Amino acid sequence: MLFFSNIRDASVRDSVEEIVGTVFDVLIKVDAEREFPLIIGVLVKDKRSYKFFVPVENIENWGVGEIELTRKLYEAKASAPLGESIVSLRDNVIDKQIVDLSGMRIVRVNDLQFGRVQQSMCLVAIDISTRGILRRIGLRSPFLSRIFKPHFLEWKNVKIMDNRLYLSAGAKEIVKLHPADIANLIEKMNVYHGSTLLQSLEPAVAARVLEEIQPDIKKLLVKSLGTERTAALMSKMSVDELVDLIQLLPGKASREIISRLPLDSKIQKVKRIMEYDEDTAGGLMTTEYITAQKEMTVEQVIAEIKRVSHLHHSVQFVYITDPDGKFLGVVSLRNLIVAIKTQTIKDIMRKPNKKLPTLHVDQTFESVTRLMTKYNLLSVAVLDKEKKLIGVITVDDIMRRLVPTA
Amino acid sequence: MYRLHNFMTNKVATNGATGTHTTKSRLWHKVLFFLSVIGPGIIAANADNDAGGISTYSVVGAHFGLKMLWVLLLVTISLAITQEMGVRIGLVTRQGLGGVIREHFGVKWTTFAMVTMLIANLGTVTAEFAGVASAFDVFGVTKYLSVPLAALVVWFVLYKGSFKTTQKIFLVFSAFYIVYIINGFIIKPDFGEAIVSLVKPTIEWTTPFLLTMIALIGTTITPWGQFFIQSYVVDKGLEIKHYKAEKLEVFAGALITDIVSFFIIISTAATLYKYGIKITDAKDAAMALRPLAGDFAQMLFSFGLFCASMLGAFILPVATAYALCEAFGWEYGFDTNWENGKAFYSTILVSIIVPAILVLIPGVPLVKIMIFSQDINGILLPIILIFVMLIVNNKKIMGEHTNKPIGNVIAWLTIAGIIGATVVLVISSVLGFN
Repeated sequence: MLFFSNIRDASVRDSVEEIVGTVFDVLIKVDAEREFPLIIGVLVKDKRSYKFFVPVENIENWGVGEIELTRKLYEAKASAPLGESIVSLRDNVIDKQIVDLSGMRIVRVNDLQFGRVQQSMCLVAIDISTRGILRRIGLRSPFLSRIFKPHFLEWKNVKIMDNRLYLSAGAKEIVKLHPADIANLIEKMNVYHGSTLLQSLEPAVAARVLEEIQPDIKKLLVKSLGTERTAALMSKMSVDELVDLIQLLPGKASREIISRLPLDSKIQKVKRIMEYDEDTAGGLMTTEYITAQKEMTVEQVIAEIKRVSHLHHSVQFVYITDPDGKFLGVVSLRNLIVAIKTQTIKDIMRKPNKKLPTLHVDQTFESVTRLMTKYNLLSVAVLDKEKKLIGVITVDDIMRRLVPTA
Repeated sequence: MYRLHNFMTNKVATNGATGTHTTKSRLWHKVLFFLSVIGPGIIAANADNDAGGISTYSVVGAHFGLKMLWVLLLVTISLAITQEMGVRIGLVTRQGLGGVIREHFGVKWTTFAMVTMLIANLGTVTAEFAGVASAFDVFGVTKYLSVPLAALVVWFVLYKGSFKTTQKIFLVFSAFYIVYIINGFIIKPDFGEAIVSLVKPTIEWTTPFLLTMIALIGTTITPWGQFFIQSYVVDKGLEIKHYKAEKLEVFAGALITDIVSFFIIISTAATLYKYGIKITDAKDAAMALRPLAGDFAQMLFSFGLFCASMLGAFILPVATAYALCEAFGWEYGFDTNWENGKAFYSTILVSIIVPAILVLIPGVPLVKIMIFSQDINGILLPIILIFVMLIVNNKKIMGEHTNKPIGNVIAWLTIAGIIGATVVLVISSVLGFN
């Protein structure tokens, strides 16, 4: 196996068998079409410390500690190619931090493995193992290799933590991850890289990711993003997450962000929730849910769900209210699916009673969790003094409060 | 990002960075901006006065009177300059010192730097446990009980994670140093003489003097402090626009910590040096507080020593593990599981267990351990500072934010001074001047 550590500082022998310099750097070309980036040549430092680019065609043999040229150095050299797709392994890859998308973590490039793929020299793998470190130090023994297992990553599965986002295929792969996973990665990066990554995502995805980030890091990120960009992301967030975030921020910053949010019904809802104490049912609840009237038919309700579904993170239940907003009952999706299309809602809905408990807006967090656990509820309606439906608490609101760091 | 800042007190009370152009006076705005970045310099400086710190400053005053005050003045300036460089590197590179060394010097030099840091930090944690042992020794509690217990508490708090609160408690308690300042006024020392000693270099070419002097430098400017300040800046997501406020804060931190050191030295000089009492255990050092606290002095001193020791014992293992993991690309943070975070958890365990065992060796002189560990820090410091200097003067890394000549002169003089003192120390102990 041939590694970058074998080639870096290797002696360069020319066609007349003379050592003419050492290898200073290896250049690769990044190409989205290729699985393994091609090596396009090396930078050779001659004895007077001048550097020359030698294209890969003029390299006859790649060996550990020595490469051979097909001709004399000054005939083999060419002008170094430039461009965004040319990456220096010495400056941009080795020793840098990378996001390992297969393992969902941040690691460092300890060494790079080269190999021939369809006759051409390529960068075939990234070594992140302690073995790579030992190889670079020059420690090699069977004992150590037994303890430290090799660990290689593929180029397409990593993203180099550099400001140049195009650097590796991994940049594109990141958006395919679940927002919660992206959030975990961002939590492991420093604030700067985290906010750079967040900004490179589509606003809707970025909003989902930001929701998932743990509170104290979220605070730092929002600060680093600035109010304008944060407001843009926040307009894509659901009401209860929005409230969580606003409550997290210091007063001045949150007022400023609220003033930048587009003036729609959402902001009214946010303000309404913020009137309640964070640790009561009112502070926990969301005001995003689907309501229906008891006279509607099953078919009508299903049509309504289809129409507004894209506005909601998830739809488990439909809440039934009278024209004044008074809470009458709840219908689960399951009830809707198994019911006959022409049945009216009032025939299939569950009415509030002992089996279908509701919450008062002032109830404490503890009593909310106890009630939901006791009755195995996925969600529960929150009512005000006049028994009007003002919000819904779902089990994930509870989980988020219980395990803020997950 | 899930790094030191989660473990260090977050003093950000006001969000000044979001800025407003409409309201209030500009002065108020400036104050808010300053408050928003306050923290690292003052915390790092406060943690400098740990077990090693208290005992070193006590010994400096008790054994050599005011003779070393001039070193303290120079060290204060050097501390401010080196911490400022750490802040600047952090702001520009947005990486910890370990990470920057790794990316620019490669694996071999990184290993060298990290081994250096590890040895220095193990030494410092050893001093912290020696501090715990000495503090309890005053009350007749054997170290075979107090040290293992302290080690367990440190591990448990770090692992189970109410670290932030615990650390805040100890940070508040370590404000006990103020008693030295009050004490310093009560004993009515000759401030005139003290001021003269601050600027008039006196040196004795003896092994004890040189050893104590290197410890004085090594306890004030530390390898870990250099790593700490840089990580802190990075983890708080500070940017170059915070530089001025941050610089001010670091300078203030250096000044505050050394004012405390100054008063510890003049307190012990006026109480112990005057009567020729040498410090061999915590009881002796506590006598310096008698003018203020009377019979209560021993208790007060032990309490302060204990808090300072525990604060260091909490911060150092974590700081060590973070620096190592960042440099070598290992996973870290208390949210990783044991399998992935093997290196992280083992580093923390090693840097708790090894120092605790060293302190438990029967018959080791506790005060000497505390001083000696600061000597190790002092002797190893130039290695880390040279890395810092090479980084901070590299245009490729720092761009327009490389050092000004004045910073370079002071930092190189510091490095040269420590190396010079070490060389003289070695020669003098080999030739046996005494």
